[in-house]
Amino acid sequence: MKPSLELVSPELGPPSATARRLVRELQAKLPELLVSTAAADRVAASRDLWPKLLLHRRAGRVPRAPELVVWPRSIEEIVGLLAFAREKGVPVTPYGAGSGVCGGAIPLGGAISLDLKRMDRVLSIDRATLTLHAEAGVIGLPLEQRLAARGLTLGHFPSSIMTSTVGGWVAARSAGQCSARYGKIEDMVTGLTVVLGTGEVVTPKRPATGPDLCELFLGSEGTLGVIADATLRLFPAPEAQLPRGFRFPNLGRAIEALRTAFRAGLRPAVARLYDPVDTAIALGHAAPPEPSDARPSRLASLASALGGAAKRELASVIASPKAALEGAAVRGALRNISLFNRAAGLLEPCLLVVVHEGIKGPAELEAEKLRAVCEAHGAVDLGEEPGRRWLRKRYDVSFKLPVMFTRGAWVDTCEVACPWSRLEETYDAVRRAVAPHAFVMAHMSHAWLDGCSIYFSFSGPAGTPEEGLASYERAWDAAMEAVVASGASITHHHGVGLLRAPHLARELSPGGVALLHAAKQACDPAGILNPGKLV
Amino acid sequence: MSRVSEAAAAKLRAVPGGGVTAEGEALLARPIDAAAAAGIVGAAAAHGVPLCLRGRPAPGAVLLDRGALERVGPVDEPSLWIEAEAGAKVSAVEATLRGRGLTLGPLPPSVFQGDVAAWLEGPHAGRRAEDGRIGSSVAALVAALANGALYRGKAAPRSAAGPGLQHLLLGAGGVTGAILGATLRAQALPPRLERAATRGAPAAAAAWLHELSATIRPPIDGTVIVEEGALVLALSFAGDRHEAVRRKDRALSRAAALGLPMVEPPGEERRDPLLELEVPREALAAALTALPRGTRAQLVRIARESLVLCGGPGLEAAAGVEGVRLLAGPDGPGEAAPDDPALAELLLRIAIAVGRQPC
Repeated sequence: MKPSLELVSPELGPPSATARRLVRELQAKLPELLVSTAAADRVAASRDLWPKLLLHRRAGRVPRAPELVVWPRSIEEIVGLLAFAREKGVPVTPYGAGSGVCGGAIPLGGAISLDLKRMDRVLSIDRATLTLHAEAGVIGLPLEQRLAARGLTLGHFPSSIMTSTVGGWVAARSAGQCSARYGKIEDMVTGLTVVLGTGEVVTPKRPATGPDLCELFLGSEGTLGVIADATLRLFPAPEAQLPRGFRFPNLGRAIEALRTAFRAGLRPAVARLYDPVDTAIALGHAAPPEPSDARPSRLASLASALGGAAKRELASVIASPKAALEGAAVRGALRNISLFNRAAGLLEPCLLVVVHEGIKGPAELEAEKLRAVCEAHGAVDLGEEPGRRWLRKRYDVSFKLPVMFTRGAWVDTCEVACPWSRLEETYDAVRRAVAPHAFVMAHMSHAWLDGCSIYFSFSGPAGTPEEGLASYERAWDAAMEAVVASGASITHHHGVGLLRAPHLARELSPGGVALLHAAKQACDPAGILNPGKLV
Repeated sequence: MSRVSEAAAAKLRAVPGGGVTAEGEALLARPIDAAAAAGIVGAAAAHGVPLCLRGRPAPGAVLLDRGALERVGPVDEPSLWIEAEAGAKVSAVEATLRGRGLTLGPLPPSVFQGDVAAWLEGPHAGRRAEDGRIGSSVAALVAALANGALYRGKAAPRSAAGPGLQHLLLGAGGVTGAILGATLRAQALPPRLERAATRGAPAAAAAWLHELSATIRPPIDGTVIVEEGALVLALSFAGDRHEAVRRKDRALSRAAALGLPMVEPPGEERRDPLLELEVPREALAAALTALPRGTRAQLVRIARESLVLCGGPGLEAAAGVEGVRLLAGPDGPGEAAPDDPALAELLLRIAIAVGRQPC
């Protein structure tokens, strides 16, 4: 039987007799392996950044901590640890920097947490082949700084760049903010070293013939093997960075502009299209109608038709949605979720933020072409400032979300992927489905030739933890149902973890589930790797 | 094994739409749709009947002929996707796309000669010229796994919903299952192709190719011609008018820096390739140097990891260079299996776990 999430009191007792025995036996076999049963280490390894855990924490519950934490420093130590785990029948959960938001790295079933952060060597930076060979525990930001000092870039800038690792990126199919130009992590990988659950070490590469088995371990979330190192492609650091912003009259025209630009071969490093609500928050006000449009906004009309507190709250949101949603008014707003989602549906203008980069001349040419495409779709050029502001604050959002939990609300993000032909339909369907349970906004980032990711943000009431957990579950279930029904993929780059596990079977089809089980059987027949996840 | 047992044959014939007939001491199944094909695969697995996907079936086996699965379309124009069944000719898929100003993109000539299943299951998987990644061509697959379960991948621009399971089928030679259809990725026909050619030492040409293969958008194909004392290398750059010209000009300026003067691009000349070689980048200079005068070859994969050359007999000289792999010879394409024995064994274990029967 697969282990499941076990929530316990935050008070952590001394190591159990089992843990003490495991440590003794493990140290006898692998005397050089760093091992800890210290409470601080076990607590740190017991969770990731899944927002639902904050609600549980408020209710006085935390995930059960692993029995022990180990820090291997070599492939041989990983092989030895897995042999030990197979012999003892103890689960092992690989752990990077814990920035996942789906519970994928939470060790279940009294597992050993295998923390890879001591495998943090950059093995080579090859300027001739423009490739990087790095161990799994290398953290993103220092890596990118090291590359920048050599005039190179990986081009991978997830918002978690300060707290995520190369191995974590590969295991969860991470995407960075500049994916439109440099691709997702699966585009960057040219080879991997993986220790299977069987203890075998395999080194898949990207072949010209035969199956591409790097793809088997990309997104495997620690269930098939431990990713020990990765070879990734590099690019020359950009000579120029050209930020820009455009305001579109509505979302439909903006989506069409983005699609047209990508079909024309334009690849701005960053292309983030904010829906009207997210636009209002990004700009700090509900974008007014064009000056030539003398009609009162539909939003103002709705506000004037209301009475009492709802009118005042809506008026405050219209005046300053950012302040209202980040300030004390948030609880008031979340008492009227349906109203506010209805009001949000009346907003129209949206913001596209782009950043072109590369060699100066071609980047300027690309910027000119994109401007022409946007203007042909009714956009107004807002100049450089929206792009510059985004660049200044590009990593801030992750630090703002937890604050909402102290204001009687919960917040989570849900990124899905769909083709251009179903983008608006999926966006509308998810908004409709979630609207009764949580406030919804979204931006479209990570655009591709054939489609785009929609990155929803949900916020619901959490006056008490139980109220929050109930609305959280309802919102997520409704969102996933709508996503599956619309034919979109349930995740673009956050992965599955515990959060999306109930919806994975429908994503994969019965055949996909069978194939995943077959892969598990072949790679980890003893079932020791990250049990209770994915397969 | 002699012939298929009566009981097993009866079960196979009972599959609705399975189209089972006798073929000597073997059976031939020509299913009419994906469900029927999966039914045949499942019945064969359940009764221990070996399943073959191409060639003549051995006595006691069943050959799954996917020739009746030949539908092409519909086309999702906004998303640049086209659906195609396994038995559809790749040339027919391309013709449908061309009628709408779209294309599958740069693929080796051998791909266009076969059907969708032969392309996607066969050893052509990573030979897409522009980036060498089959994923750039396939958004999703429909397949009958070896145990008969129907796999329907979800077509999406990207997904993080677990491993890339379709890659256990792509280029796997049918070991894990039979591909029955695909959602293929197309692209707009480039409004313009600009060709740039240089003439010089093979080592300099190899360095030029190295640089260009590491750019955001590498050349989409190329031609190599060995002349007396020098090598002519012509490359094609796609884009709108300004973009294609800009790419070409920039490539030529890099060539000049490497000591490769520009020459007039040679005329197009397509011959049926006899050989296909995969050349890792570290062996490229040696491989180009080994080519005898008069050799003409096409570059059908220009990826950072390796390049693929296809052409006539002169290529044999490069086949002996250390690191170079023969992908296809006069007798046809080689095995569709991982080159690494450990990975080949892993794939086989997955196939057995999903119910593979020997053929």
